[in-house]
Amino acid sequence: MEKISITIDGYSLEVDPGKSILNAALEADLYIPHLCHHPDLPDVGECRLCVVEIEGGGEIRTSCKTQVEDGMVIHTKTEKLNAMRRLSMELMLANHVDDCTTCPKYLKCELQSLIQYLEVSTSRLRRTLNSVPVNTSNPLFVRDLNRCVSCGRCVRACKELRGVDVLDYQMTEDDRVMVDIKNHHSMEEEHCRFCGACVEVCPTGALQDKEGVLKPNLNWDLELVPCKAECPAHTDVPRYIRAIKEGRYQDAIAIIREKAPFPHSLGYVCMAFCESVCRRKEINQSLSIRELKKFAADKDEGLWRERANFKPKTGKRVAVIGSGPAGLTAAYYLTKLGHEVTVFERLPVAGGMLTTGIPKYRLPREAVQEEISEIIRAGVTILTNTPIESLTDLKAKGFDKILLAVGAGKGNRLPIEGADYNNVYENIDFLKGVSLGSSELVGDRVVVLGGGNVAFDCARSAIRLGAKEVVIACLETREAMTASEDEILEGLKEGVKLLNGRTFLRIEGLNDKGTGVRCQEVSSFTFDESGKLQLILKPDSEHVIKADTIIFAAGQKPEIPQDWDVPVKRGNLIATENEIKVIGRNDLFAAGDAVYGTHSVIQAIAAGRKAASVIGQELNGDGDIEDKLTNDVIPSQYLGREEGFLEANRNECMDDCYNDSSACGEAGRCLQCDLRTQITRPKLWIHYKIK
Amino acid sequence: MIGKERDRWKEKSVDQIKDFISNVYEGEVKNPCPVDRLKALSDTLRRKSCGECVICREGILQLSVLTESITLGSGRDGDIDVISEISEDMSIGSACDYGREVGRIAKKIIDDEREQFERHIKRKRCDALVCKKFITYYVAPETCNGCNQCLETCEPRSIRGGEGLIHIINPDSCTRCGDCVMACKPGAILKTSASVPNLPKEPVPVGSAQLDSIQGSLMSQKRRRRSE
Ligand SMILES: Cc1cc2nc3c(=O)[nH]c(=O)nc-3n(C[C@H](O)[C@H](O)[C@H](O)COP(=O)(O)OP(=O)(O)OC[C@H]3O[C@@H](n4cnc5c(N)ncnc54)[C@H](O)[C@@H]3O)c2cc1C
Ligand code: SF4
Ligand code: SF4
Ligand code: SF4
Ligand code: SF4
Ligand code: SF4
Ligand code: SF4
Repeated sequence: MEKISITIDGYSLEVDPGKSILNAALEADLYIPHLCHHPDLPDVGECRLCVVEIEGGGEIRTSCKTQVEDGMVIHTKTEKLNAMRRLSMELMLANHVDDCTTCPKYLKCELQSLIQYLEVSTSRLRRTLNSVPVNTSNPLFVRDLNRCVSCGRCVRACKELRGVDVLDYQMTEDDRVMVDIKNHHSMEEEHCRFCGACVEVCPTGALQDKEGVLKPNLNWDLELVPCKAECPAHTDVPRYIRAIKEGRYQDAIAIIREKAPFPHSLGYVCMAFCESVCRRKEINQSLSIRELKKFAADKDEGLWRERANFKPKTGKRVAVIGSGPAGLTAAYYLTKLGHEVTVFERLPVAGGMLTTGIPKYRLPREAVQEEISEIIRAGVTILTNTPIESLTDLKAKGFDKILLAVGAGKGNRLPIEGADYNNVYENIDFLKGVSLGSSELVGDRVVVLGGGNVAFDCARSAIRLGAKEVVIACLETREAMTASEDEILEGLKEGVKLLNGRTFLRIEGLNDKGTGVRCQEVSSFTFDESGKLQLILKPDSEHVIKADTIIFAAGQKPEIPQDWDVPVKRGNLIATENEIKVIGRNDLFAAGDAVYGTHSVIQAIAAGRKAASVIGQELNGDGDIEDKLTNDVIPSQYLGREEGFLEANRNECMDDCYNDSSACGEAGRCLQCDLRTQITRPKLWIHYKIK
Repeated sequence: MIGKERDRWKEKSVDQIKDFISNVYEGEVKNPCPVDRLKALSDTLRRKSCGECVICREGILQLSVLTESITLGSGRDGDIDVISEISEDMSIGSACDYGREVGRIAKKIIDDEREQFERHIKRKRCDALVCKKFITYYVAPETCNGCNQCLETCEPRSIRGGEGLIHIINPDSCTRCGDCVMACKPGAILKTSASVPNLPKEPVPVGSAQLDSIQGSLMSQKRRRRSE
């Protein structure tokens, strides 16, 4: 297109015809004050701050609504214009609370920055504040219209960008005009989609997110999308949910795989930290993010493989000790960075807790196996039945770097009498035995000591092995148990008995076999300053729980072979710098539960990714492990009105997995918090070259 | 709660807008006090602004609040300049002809009647005797015939007197409603924006109060008090 020439304040510009004077100026880094203009919204010329004079053009005009014409000579800062702007600003401020320091938008406010630029105060005018109560009656936003200047950006964002049309200029009782929810209704009544576009474009503190909904984050794109921020691997949740909604299942799985090589396993057992912060839960219940992940993984046809990025071979070799999710994830990404990776696993199967800890009934082994095969297909060598006793020997085999991803695989045995009878097990050993198929592990009566999720895994596994009576005994009350409510309920349903508030005195036994656990009831317990447990016991409450099998489920810690000579800290955790580099060693790295104790699969995956990236850098690469496994589909900014959207309840997955229509329905509940990140953040005057 | 309908002048023609505004203006053209006139006009017109542009929405509102405050005696130095600036900016900077037209009218009033505005602000006077805050009702003692009609009509009971007595209005409680003026057949009730002439302190019989004798008695009272 042929450019045209204009002059703004003496600067000659070549610009595309059809542009507004304001845009032409701003693009040339020339500031013209403006408030109701927003780069993503249609211009209306209502704040009257962008006024300009055009030589020979007669009247003063708003530059946002005036198109450039060839030869135009434009002035933006004449005395008359400055005076007009100041008056417009004074008029807005007359009808605006005057205390910025108590405002949530303080120092981030476009209006405040303009006040500064125009150097205005309200003293000449009469106050006209239209006092209204701060409206917090909706689940997600605070509407303090005492700080509103009726710029109408929110109205346009909701109507033009989103097509929902919740907001408008409204008459008050006193015939004043204010921007409010249509018909002075509630947001729900006007079918708000809670997309946050209005809050995003508001230049003042009038529209705010409720406190606590978004956690402050230096990365704005993460701050606005809590599910993605909370996921340790920052899985792009709204993007894959949208793909499911639109029936693009291969895109969905590809998006999940961009951040984690174990999508199917996660679909079964992820702790779903994302769901605990999902914004939708403020309306009714959180999205069923994990079930949707399982659904997408179920549909995986592997199309993403063609796009996985493999860098040229580097000739460098890395040893990974431990084939849990941390070790295998690191191995996978290190291989893609071009390094030759060997994983050493002491057990006969790879997968760590995925295959030898978490019971089969929660995580089908086929799902894990397929994911491990995928990692092997990428070029990772996994040597099972290969415990590593000496790091020096390993190093001598020619590895440039070693990653310790040994997990927290050693169960704690309480130091009580009888703890070493041979029918007394540790949680991890017991579950490992169950997974590897030794069903002779249990007798008729099983007692599990401990109240966490692992205790339930042990107890429910015991039931499946044929135990007749399974008891979970623990110190905590029912309410204070650390196990998730789901696990407790499932356990009770399957017949597990709970004995809360017990302390264990000793294991009674005969010969080398335990026969029961001697307990006493506890009325309360605290921890003293040094962290030591203080019990208040119920008198005369000693009793014995009869048992044929006793299982300790009192936590677990990493097992570090003597000869390794790596620094450890409290809980036998490997001491690291930045949770990756082993302190004092430049060839040793550590990741996963071995560093921070038992956490979760997704945390282990995130740790594995970070390890791959750091090791990649240490091996003189850029350490860039990011994958782009699908084409970007630019999401539509348009949402439209949808009756019933807010009422839709979480679609609990009753069968093993969603079907196409229930998945689509559930995905449709997402508020698409990420759409807000697509909205341009306007520059303030400070950021323009010519002000 | 369903909001009231808003006028959308941007969708109307210049003629429609001008017709509407001149109708409102006609209603006030006879108002002899320009401050009160602008006050009444801006109060009506601000309620009809579509409210989308700042200068029109906030400008007319400011004019209305400002002029009201002047009529109530709270005018400040600089108010005139503000009114003048707002109306000028409205006339050149509003987004549609509604704001521009209102601005033009306001500008004409303030330009033509600057002096009257100044008298309201500086001297607290309303020469047209419209702005209640600045006027005082009183009973002219030489005209009052003691009919007691005014006393009976005065709602806040601000008039003292009785049959055959010269009535007296208490300016502190008088609401300046003007009802007594209507009731007074001989037209004894007057209003002024300047200072009130000397009046009897107490209701005295009709005829006993010649202006100078009142003066005399007042003076003698004063003198007497001083000599005590
Ligand atoms: C019973 C149980 C249930 C759980 N349930 C869940 C759940 O539902 N959801 C969830 O998100 N998280 C769950 N977790 C936590 C999760 O499984 C772990 O946080 C995760 O597996 C840690 O991964 P990792 O790779 O760090 O270690 P691990 O998975 O423990 O893998 C470490 C591997 O290193 C091997 N190894 C150790 N020492 C050596 C050596 N010297 N030589 C060679 N190999 C060695 C081990 O055999 C093991 O295979 C559960 C944990 C347990 C114990
Ligand atoms: S919205 Fe902006 S200008 Fe208004 S009080 Fe808040 S910080 Fe100050
Ligand atoms: S709420 Fe914010 S965006 Fe909406 S009109 Fe008011 S100041 Fe503008
Ligand atoms: S739909 Fe979006 S833009 Fe409209 S009011 Fe609701 S949150 Fe704001
Ligand atoms: S509503 Fe959707 S995008 Fe928003 S937090 Fe929940 S899952 Fe994430
Ligand atoms: S001048 Fe502006 S606010 Fe006034 S009626 Fe026209 S568009 Fe609406
Ligand atoms: S003006 Fe009204 S209030 Fe005042 S004295 Fe007359 S009747 Fe009474």
